[in-house]
Amino acid sequence: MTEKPPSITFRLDPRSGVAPYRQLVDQVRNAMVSGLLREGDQLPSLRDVVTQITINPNTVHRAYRELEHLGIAEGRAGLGTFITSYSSRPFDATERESLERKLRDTITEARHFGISEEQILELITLAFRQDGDVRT
Amino acid sequence: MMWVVWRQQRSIVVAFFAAAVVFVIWLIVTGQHEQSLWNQYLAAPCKGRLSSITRDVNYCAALEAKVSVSGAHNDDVATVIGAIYAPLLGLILGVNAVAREIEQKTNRLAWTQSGSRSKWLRSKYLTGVTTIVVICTPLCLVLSWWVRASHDAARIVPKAFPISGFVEIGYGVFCFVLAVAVGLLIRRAGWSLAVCIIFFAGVFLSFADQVRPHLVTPSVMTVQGDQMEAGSSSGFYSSGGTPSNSWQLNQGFVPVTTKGIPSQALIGKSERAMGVCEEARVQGSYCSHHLHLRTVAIYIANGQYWTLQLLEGAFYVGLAALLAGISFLGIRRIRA
Amino acid sequence: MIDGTAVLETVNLGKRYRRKWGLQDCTLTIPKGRVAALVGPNGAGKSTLLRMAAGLDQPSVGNLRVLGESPTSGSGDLKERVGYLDQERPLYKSFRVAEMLRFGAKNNPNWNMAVAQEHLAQLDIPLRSRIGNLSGGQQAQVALTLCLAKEPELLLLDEPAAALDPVARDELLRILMRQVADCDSSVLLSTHSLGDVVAICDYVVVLAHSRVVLSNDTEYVLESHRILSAVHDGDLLPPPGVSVINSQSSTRGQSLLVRVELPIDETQWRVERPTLEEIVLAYLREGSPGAKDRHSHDDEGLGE
Repeated sequence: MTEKPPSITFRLDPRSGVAPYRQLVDQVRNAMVSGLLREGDQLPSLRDVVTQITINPNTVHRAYRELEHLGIAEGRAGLGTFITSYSSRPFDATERESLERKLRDTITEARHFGISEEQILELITLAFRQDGDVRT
Repeated sequence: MMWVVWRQQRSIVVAFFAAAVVFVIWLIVTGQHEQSLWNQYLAAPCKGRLSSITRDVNYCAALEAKVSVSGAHNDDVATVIGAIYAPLLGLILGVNAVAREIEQKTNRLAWTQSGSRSKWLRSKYLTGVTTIVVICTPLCLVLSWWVRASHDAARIVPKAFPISGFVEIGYGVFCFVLAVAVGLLIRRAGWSLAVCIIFFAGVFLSFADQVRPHLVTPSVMTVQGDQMEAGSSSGFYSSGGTPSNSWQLNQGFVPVTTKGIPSQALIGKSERAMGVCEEARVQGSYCSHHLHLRTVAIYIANGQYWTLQLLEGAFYVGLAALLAGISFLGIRRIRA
Repeated sequence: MIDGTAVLETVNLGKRYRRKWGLQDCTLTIPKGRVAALVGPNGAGKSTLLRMAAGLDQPSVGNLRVLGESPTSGSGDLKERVGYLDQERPLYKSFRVAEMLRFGAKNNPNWNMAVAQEHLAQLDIPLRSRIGNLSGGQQAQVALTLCLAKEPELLLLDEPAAALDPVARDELLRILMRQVADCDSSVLLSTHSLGDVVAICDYVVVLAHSRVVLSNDTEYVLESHRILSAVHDGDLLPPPGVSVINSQSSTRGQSLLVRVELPIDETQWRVERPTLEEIVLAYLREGSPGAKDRHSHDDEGLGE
């Protein structure tokens, strides 16, 4: 049996206030943004993830279902879970730099007003919701 | 399940089996040795007693000395080891089967596997009792032979009774069941063993002393005065003229008219009367004639031997069954 | 209240030892498919609950159903479907590992010897060793293997990670999670340190002073609790729509750990998400009786 390296290595921060399955979802999305994961890549199987890190398989299952719900991944019967074509377009370098700059400015300003990291994240979440986009 | 129980008791069984083998070899060797000495003593010219022919007296006296001395030490060892072997085996197997399991908490493992606690207890009993019967039966056969060969004591008298016949298997089974039941209660191996040893010793001694003599109706016979003085005759083991190989329970003076089995009180009263009389007179036979007393011996004959064995065995096995039954009732309620 | 898919259900369950109550007023429903953590300090009643669920002890009051059946009603069938690992991890010290497996095979009709041997081979535990000669971590693994190889629907583990070094603990939990992945088993494990198991549990039950003070999906718990903090001079009333679990004051401010029922007005308070451990700790500190209203049987979680 050939040992293929996994398409993504998950990490769980048990001390975070964010639910574990949510952390995995975010990690997949971040991986797509940075180009680590592309369309057609297979996500590691439940058993492989559980062998890799000490994690509840239900968590992985839940995360994969959420990714399917978001349209980011799809399950193919008997084969596994694969990244779909949805938003698999990675940032190009200039777009990324511009967005990062804008975000850094906003964050600096917010900090100046004494707004915490948590509250900034809440604001961003709120903004997404108001945008009518899918639930995050 | 039986395999598991067997495996748990394996090292104990191996140790006891090895000890039994050594013991049996020793019994056979010493038994044969004593048997041959007795055969010489019983044959001409001594015929089992000091010869009246002057030239043989020294020879027979020497033989008799050998027979009684060489036997004595061996006999004590054999009697003690033989008597405690089965009870000890039963106690240690029983303590190991339950008290130790509970003490080491492995019962929490056993009781959360498939199968009920009753099944667990049943396997313990079955395996233990089978082991005891299998090991002790051959040992009992050898011990019974040895009792005959060593001529130490009649098989029916208290000294030899526990190690002859098969009553010892009853002791062993009872001790095993006792140790299991006590283990369920006390839950500690050391304490269970101590309590069981004391309890069994108490039961055994009380039974031998108070109950066994009353298991069958004893026989009474009048003993002629001169027979009492005769001591060992050709049927040795008799004292005071009772039949050979019998178990003499009591002996003394009773009124001539006494029917049936005289009580100890009656004998005592007659003894005191004789004592008063003899202080005044020299000849004992005058007093007994004058007071209308005769000497009787109360004994249990050899023919009753197997009845006694059966009854005593049944008592111990029955008590074991009762204890076992109680333990099955209690096993569900016990804290794990 | 009877949930057909629950692995463990209790109603007013209590256990009394002589004069002391080991567990009281315990009402829980643990759904199928969860890895549930039973958290609480020593003496809180965790072992008591697990032992009753395993059929080792009888309840003093109340009702208990495991996989829909009563553990003490005598049907041996339930013990085939439930694996129990005692706190003492009892094993027969004089047996060899292979003999211990044989014990398992003889006592369990559903025994899967291949699984058992595979687990031990992966951990490099030789079958010929005597149990007594193995390390603490290895003995714990053998004891766990005895539970796993009968492929039970429910695993009841009493402090499985206790007294193990971090590597051994990680290995044990990982093997457990693989079993959950392969066999869909549900797990209820107790711990006095949530940090050991927080990575793997998705349902949490908190016991304090022999009572249940919290029991729900971890996701729900995380979503429904917040830390509110504010700077002020006097005592500030908490906003409406929250239930204060625990409050801590400092020189110029106050910090509350609350359960949220309505959206919070965020102008006066800074809102943060607590970790699961912070939430559990708050409940343990507060741990008062009359905590029944904090139970929720909302398995769906928020917003789904």
